[in-house]
Amino acid sequence: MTELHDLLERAAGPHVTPDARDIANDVARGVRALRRRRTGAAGGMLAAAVAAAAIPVAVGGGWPSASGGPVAPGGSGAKSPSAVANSGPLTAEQKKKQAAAGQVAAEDAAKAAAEKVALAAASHSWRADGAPVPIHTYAGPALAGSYQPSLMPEETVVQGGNAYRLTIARADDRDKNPDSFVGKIVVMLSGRAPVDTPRVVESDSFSRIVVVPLSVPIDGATMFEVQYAPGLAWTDDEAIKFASSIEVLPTAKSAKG
Amino acid sequence: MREPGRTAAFRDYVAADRGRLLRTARLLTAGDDHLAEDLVQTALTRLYVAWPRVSRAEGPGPYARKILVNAFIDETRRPWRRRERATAALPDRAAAEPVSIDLPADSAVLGVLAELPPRQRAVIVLRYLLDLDVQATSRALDCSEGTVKSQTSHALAKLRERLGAQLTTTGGMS
Repeated sequence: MTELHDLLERAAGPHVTPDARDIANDVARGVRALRRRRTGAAGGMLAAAVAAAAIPVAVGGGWPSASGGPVAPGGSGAKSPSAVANSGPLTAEQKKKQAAAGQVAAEDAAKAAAEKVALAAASHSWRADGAPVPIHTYAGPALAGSYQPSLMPEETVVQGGNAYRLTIARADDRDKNPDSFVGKIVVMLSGRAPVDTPRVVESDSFSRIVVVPLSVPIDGATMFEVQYAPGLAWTDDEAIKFASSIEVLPTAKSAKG
Repeated sequence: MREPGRTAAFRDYVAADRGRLLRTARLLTAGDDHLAEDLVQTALTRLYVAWPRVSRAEGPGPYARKILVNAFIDETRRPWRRRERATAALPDRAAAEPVSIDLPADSAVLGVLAELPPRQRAVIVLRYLLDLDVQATSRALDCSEGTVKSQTSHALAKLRERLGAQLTTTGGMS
């Protein structure tokens, strides 16, 4: 006898606990999608308002006749079927279609624009001259949370720190949510494959990641990682220099289930 | 501060349930790990957007499951999936030979799942991996309970034909 549940349980593979980066990426994708949706909805409402404002003008003024004067809606005169369709008062259905078409177009444009903004935040240089963002010694008070850097990039602010992550962003970043990581610097424990020395392990157009081994494991993690926006324009050495300046306290927590 | 609250709750849910979603997706995709990861990411992204509504209603688990299944079925409707695709490794199973009922290999189970139509595969995964009853399965698939029963019957017949007649199903039968 073979129990189907057992077969499926085994074929489904081992239960993989998500590491901090998986979770952070899931959150980042969700935040981006929500932002796109809100931007799209705002654009859609604007388009609908514009369409609604245009309709009374078209209906009230009528369409220009061949002689240049307006033809009153429903007025006399021979008209082709299409002319009739175009010149008469718009039905509720036609108005709805016009508004919907405007809304779809506006939403598409808004989504594309929001995606561009997100990409720009992540990949465009933080400085106008494209130079690397300088790093200076941080001598301020201890930060909240479990991650304590002794160096800090210039013109940045700490958006929030706790046992799970430290989030640093440009001082003028409009996204003030410390759990939104796109285009920022985030420090957290790492579940990646162990490394002997600090190094850049991943790099794409959205982010670069430096992993640093811990001297003693913390909450099951043997390393921590710094995910940062390519816009900082740091070399590997600069990124490693910043990452290596961070002290991870034993209170740090790995975002595991 | 609604956003941090949403994010913190979502983070907790992902930490607790992502692994289960991934295993479900692995069976839905018949072992395509890359597609499974894509589906889970899609489901979680949509879940985050809908979080306030979801957390007030049925809870994130059933909603994420429903999105995952819908994303999978949508994916199977894409034209490119109907064509052959390159894979990293050759399958190590015989395509037509019945497998031993004593110890069917995981690849054999995944192979038989791959032969099922998407909805039948989803029914099998929901009922016999996740142990959902007919009612919950019908909600997840957005279809009638009668459809769930008939899809289950067809799928089980195929599984028994390929994996052995002594296949038992003690779960998911209510």
